Amino acid sequence: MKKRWMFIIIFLVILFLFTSFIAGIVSLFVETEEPITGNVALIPIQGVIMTTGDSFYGQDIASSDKIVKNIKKADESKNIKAIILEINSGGGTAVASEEVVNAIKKTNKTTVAYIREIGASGAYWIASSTDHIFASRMSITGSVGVIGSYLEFSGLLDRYNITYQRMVAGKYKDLGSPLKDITNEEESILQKQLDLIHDYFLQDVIESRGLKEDQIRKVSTAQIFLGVEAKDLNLIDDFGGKEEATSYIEEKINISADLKEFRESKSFLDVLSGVMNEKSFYVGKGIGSQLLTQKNSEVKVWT
Amino acid sequence: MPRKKLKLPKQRTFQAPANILKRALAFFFDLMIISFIIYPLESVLRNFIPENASYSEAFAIINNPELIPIITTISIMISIIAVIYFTILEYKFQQTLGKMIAKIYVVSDNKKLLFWQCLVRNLFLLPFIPFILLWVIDPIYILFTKENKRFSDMLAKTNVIENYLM
Repeated sequence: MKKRWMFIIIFLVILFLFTSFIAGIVSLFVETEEPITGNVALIPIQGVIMTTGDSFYGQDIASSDKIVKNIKKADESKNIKAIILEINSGGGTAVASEEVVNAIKKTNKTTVAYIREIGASGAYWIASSTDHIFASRMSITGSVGVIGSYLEFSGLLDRYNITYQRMVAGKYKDLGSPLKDITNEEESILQKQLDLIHDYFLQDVIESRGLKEDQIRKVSTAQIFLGVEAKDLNLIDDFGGKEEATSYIEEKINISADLKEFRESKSFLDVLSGVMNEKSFYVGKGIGSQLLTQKNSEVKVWT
Repeated sequence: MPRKKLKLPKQRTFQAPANILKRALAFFFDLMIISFIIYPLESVLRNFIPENASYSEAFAIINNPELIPIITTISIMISIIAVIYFTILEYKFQQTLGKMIAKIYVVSDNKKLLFWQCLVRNLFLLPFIPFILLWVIDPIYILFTKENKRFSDMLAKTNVIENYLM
C-alpha cells in the first residue's frame, strides 16, 4: 500500500515537472502579453529612439516598432480611453521618430505627453503630435533640428601613414566616409538633405503646436529650452508630470483614470539576448579601449 | 483480558458495472488533479487572454492566426498529459485517484488489463478528429448500454466496475 502511494506521488511529481518543462519550452517561443486592464494606457519612451533593438552600446533603446505596436494595441482596445506618453529621451533617428508621430496622429483617442528629464529633438517631435504636453519647469525640450555630424579620421590615418584606397563605382558612393576629407560638393549634398529633414520636422512641429512667427524663429534654431522657457514659446502646454497628465485626461473625457503601463514584455530569449548584448558590449568596450577602432562609414541622421 | 477473535462469516461481494454518477464523480476529481498538474501550461495560455475580456474578445484572440500554432500545441500537450495520467494509473492499479475515491475499478473483458486497452479507452481526451467525436458518442453510448459502457470501453474491451456487498 505504501509502495502504491509512493508510486502515485512520484508519478504526479514527474508529470508536473514535465509540464513545467514543456511550459518553459513553449514560453521561449512566445512573447507573453499582459492582459489589458486599466482604461488609460501609459506608454514609456525612454532612451534613444530607433526603429528596432533593445540595447544600443549599453544605452536604452526606445524601439519605434514596439512603441507603435503599443499605441496600436491601446487604440484597438475597447477598455483604453486615452494614451499617456511618458517621455524621457533626447531623440533618435528621423525615421523612427516619424513612425511614432504617425502612429499617434492615426489614433482616435485622447493623447497626452509628459516630459520628464528630457524630451528633445525626435522625442519632442513625438510629444508635439499629442493633444497636450506637460513638462517640468526644468525639463529639457526643444532641439527641433537635425544632426548628421561624424568623426573624420583622415588626418589620423595620414599621421600613421595609412592610405585610404578609394575604390568606388558611383561618384558619391563613399559620401560621408570618415576615412577621407569631405569635398565642398559632398558637404552641400549632405547639408541639403539635413535641411530637407529639418524643414519637414519643423513644419510638423509648427502645425501641431500652432507656433507664431517669433516662436518659429527661436524654435527653428534647434536650441534646447528648459520647461519654463518652452511654455513661453508654446512648446508645452502646462507644467506637471504623471499626476497632472492623469488629471487632465480625467477632466477632458470625464473618466476615473486607471493607468495601465504598456511596457513591452520580453520573452526569455529576449532577456537572454539582452544580457548577452550588454555583456558583449562591455567586453568589447574593454578591448576597444586598447585598440584604435574604425567607425562605420555610413552617415546616420539623428533628430 | 485477552481479546478473543470473533469468528464472523466472510463478507461476500459481487462485482457489477459501476454507477454512472460515481464514474462522473471520479472523472471530475481526476480533472481537478490534472488541472493542478497542467497549471504551468495553463498559465502560458492565460497570458493571451485578458482577465476582463468578453467571450467574443477571447474568441477573437484564440482565433488570431499568430497564436493558433501555440494554442494548438499547448492544447495537445495538455491532453497528452491527461492521457498519460489516466493510462499509467489505470494500467498500474486499475484505478486513478478519482476512481480510488469512488471505489471503482477498470477491468478487462478478458483476463488481464493490458496497456493498449488502458490507452485506447482514454484516447477520447485528445482534442482532434476522430477522437473528438467520442466526446459526444461516449456519453450517449453509456446511457444506452446495459453495462454502462462507454463507446471507448467497447473498443478497448474494458469496463468500469464496483464491488457490491451481498
